[in-house]
Amino acid sequence: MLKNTISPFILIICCHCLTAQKVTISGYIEDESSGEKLIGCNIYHASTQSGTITNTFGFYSITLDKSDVIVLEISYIGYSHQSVRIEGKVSKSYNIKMKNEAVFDEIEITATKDKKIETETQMSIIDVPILQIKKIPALMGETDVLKALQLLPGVQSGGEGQAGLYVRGGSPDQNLILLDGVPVYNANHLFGFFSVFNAEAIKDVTLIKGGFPARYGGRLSSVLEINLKDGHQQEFHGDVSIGIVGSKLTLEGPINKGKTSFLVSGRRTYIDLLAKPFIRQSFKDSGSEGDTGYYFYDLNAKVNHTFSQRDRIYVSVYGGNDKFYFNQKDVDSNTRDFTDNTLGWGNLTGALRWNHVIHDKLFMNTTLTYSKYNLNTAISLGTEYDDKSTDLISLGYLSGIRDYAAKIDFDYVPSPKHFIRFGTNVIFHEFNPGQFNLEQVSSGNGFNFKQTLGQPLKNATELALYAEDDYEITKKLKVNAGLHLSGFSVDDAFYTSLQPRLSMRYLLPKGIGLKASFATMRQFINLLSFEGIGLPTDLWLPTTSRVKPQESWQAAIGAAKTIGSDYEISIEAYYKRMNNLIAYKDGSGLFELTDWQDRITQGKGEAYGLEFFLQKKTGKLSGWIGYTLAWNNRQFTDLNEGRAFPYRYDRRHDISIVAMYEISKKINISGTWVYGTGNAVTLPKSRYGVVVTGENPDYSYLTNVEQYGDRNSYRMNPYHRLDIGISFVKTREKRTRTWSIGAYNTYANNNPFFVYFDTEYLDNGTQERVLKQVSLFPLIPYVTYSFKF
Amino acid sequence: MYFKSILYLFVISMFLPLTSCEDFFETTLELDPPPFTRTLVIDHLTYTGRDTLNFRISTNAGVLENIEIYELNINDAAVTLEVNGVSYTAKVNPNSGIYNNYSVILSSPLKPGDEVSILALHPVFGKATSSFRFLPETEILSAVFFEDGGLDQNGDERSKIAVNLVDKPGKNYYAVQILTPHFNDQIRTTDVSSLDPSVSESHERYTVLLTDEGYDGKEKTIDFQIYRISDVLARGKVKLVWYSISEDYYKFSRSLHAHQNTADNPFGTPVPVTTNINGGTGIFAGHTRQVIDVE
Repeated sequence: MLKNTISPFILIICCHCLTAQKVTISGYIEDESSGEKLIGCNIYHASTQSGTITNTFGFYSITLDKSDVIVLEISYIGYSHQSVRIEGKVSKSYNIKMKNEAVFDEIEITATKDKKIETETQMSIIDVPILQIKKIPALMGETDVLKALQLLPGVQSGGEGQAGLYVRGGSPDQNLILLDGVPVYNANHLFGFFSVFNAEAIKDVTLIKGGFPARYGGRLSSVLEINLKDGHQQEFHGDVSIGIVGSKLTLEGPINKGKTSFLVSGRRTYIDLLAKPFIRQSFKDSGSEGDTGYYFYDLNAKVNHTFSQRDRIYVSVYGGNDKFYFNQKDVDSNTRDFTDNTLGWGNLTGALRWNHVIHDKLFMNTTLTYSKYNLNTAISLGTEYDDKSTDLISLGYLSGIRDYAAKIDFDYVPSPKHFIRFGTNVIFHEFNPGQFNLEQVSSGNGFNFKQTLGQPLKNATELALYAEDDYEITKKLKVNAGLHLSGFSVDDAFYTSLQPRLSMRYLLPKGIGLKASFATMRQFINLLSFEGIGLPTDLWLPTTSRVKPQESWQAAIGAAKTIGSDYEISIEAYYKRMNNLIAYKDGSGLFELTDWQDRITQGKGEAYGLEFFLQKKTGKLSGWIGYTLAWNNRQFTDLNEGRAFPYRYDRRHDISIVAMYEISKKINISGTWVYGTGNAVTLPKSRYGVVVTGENPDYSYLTNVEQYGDRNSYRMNPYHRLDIGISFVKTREKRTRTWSIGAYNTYANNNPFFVYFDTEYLDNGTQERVLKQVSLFPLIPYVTYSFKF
Repeated sequence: MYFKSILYLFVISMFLPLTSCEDFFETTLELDPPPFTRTLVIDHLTYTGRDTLNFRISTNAGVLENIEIYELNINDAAVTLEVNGVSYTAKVNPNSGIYNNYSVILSSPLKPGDEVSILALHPVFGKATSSFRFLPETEILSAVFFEDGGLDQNGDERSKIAVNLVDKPGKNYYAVQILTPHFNDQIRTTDVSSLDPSVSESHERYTVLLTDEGYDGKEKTIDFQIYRISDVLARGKVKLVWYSISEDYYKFSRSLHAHQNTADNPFGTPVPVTTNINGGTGIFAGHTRQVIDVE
């Protein structure tokens, strides 16, 4: 099958090789000092007004008419513009080194003048420079990529402090989050207050909200591609950052100069360590010994090696875990009760990538990946007796997903008018839909009972094949058209799907780019999670013969324009239809032993809206204003009596204003203001009594019934907050230290986290019920210190 | 120098949390409750064979209203019941306590096929109506007792009653109770369960609900498990009470059961209780009741 598909492409390539009137210049574009490959770098040939960009690995290829000298203009955000003169009589490989302007100017971000938003075919795509992300004031000073993305139009947060992304009416499981090409299933630390991505190790972040190119598949709502740095090729460098919550250390450098480099970056929170003496004393004071706390850590490591101009390999690993623990043991009594509880979750991913330049127009990337997500809960209760015998009951709950995947991607650039991508991938999924392990031990009488209950492990295989072409039909009209064919095999069922993708732009007068896109997507894996709580109760489950795959189609239209040299403005309208979405049936819960397929229901959803984005990337003042007007509804036969209802994250208005201002070379300030319509939740409106037969069938009693209105018909208060930050930078020789101070939610607005009913006892002995809103983080100041060497 | 910086950072970070407010990690605001409309609540369940109908007419209260549910009875509503086109005016039952505050005495006992409707009018809470029809009896071919009924879901040994029935074509719903001998030779309802997938729990303690999913219009044998009881004790004293119930009641009971189970469960999703009352809420239903001696 694969052979049959690839053969025509090889034939096309051979034909192009025979067109000898052309020359092809290809190679890599990299940072001059670090050797870091630059993604999306512009290569422009002014005399033919044609160009191309570097791919994810910094590779470019441009085919032009033969000429004595070919002049290429190279530009990239944050780097000095370069003109490169190359002899143009024969095809050749030519690597280009770009000078980072940050070397001379630590603060200012300079954007390319050539890469104009209106000329790009792709719409609904956001590239946020990591340098800009680092400047945005963050909760507790922890720079967070996902939270920065939440400040962009069409992207919403779930609620206070949460890192999940809700893109154009989708849910977090509908985002394909790729870390160096490996899917990450749970991107949250600390119940979503922080994301698992350590900004110090990241090179590039791209979010696609719609108009998906055919190379992506498997999720309905977005693709978030995060690429780690490769590691400095020439010198050793480090970055230490100390904050309120945790600390980070990043080291990078050459193993073999110019050929092999590494990057290691780790962080860990230390509130548990700092609080340990006080907590232990507290247990001691209450006549017991014990410990409780929470921590998370993550570690990124990457090694890359250049074998030759044609062959490179990359090995990258990510590991991260969150853990809550509570243990206690009586010390003074004859029989000592003890308890030991843990709640942990984490990801482990790994990727081995091999880049091979087959031909100066054909680039191949082969990837082997591994990804694992686990949720592990354990509760143990027991008693220890004087004779050292113990009684113990323990209950563990384990769920997760594990993937083994292989893929091969080709980039073929026959001419500046075409950028063809094609490839295939296969993923072996292993799902653990939730297993309980029960153990009862009584060492005194030798009793030992073990039982495993719950759902059996389930395996599935996902396949995909794609081809796309970014084709410049005329100077004004450019399209990206492609097909994505996917298949999913589980149990006895096999699903296939052919998904057409199309994006186009048409250049109108006055430099306005008119854009439109259409994409169909299909998702074979599902996430069951509770919207109401922030606990990591994520349960990844496959499509089965009973549970149909999720599907969507999305159409978008928009316009974009660069105003002057500093401002970019875009406006987009979208409509998205989703089918076979899953949700828990009324009354179903997570910790149940029944088949998960019996606990869910499938329905449809629609989302539509308008997004406005004004961005200034250059100058002393930079930042953006984003506004989204959106509607987001769901409809399930088994929910809300079959009537459509607003999705919990249906947010009519979502505004974000982000500004960064460079006061001097040593001081810069930044601020963020966000506003969002309150989340939709289901609350009882009234209550009444119903007669029920009691324990004794001869007697009845009245039971209280809470009467709900339509699902998600109650709106929580709107969310708004202002964050501010200021950084003091001092550079001496090759060392830079930065003090950053700031505050999250500066005017201490009580933003809704959740609402609940409570009973208050009054002084006169009566009680009354009240509806309360819980808010987190009234005002959180932060300070961080970082030192680069 | 660097050590000093780190030290300053540490000291500042220790004091920073104190600079915020007293309830650092949690602040609460009191909110206005969701708006609601006060309506009539009708709560009525009857069976074939009865000639006196008792029911409860009440109203709903706001979620934050400091009022007990037994204080919500309404005695000034005008309630009319119609059975097969014959109207009866319901009277307030002064001795009803907190339960059925209205009653109607019919001219003849209710039977399968009877059509019953209710109209309740109140000057403040408006109008509420509902109706149902008693379903035909179910063809029960046999009901046989087995002392050894296997293990139940919890692994406990049980006795069982195997019921063989013929389901009528179309969607049908049933409720089942088992009467067994108890202390002092009383014959009473008892806990009943089943491993059959068509059987589910009801909001009523001693009742299970059934759908005919998987055997629509066919003959079917279903095992109902009860506590372990010897053949000798059971002989002639175990009875099967079989109800043919409406879809409205089935949904009401299932949703109320789930509602009760998830009321205080943070991992559960909220469950609205269904109703078949137009203009109000509650349940108005009648079951066709069959009592069968178990062999």
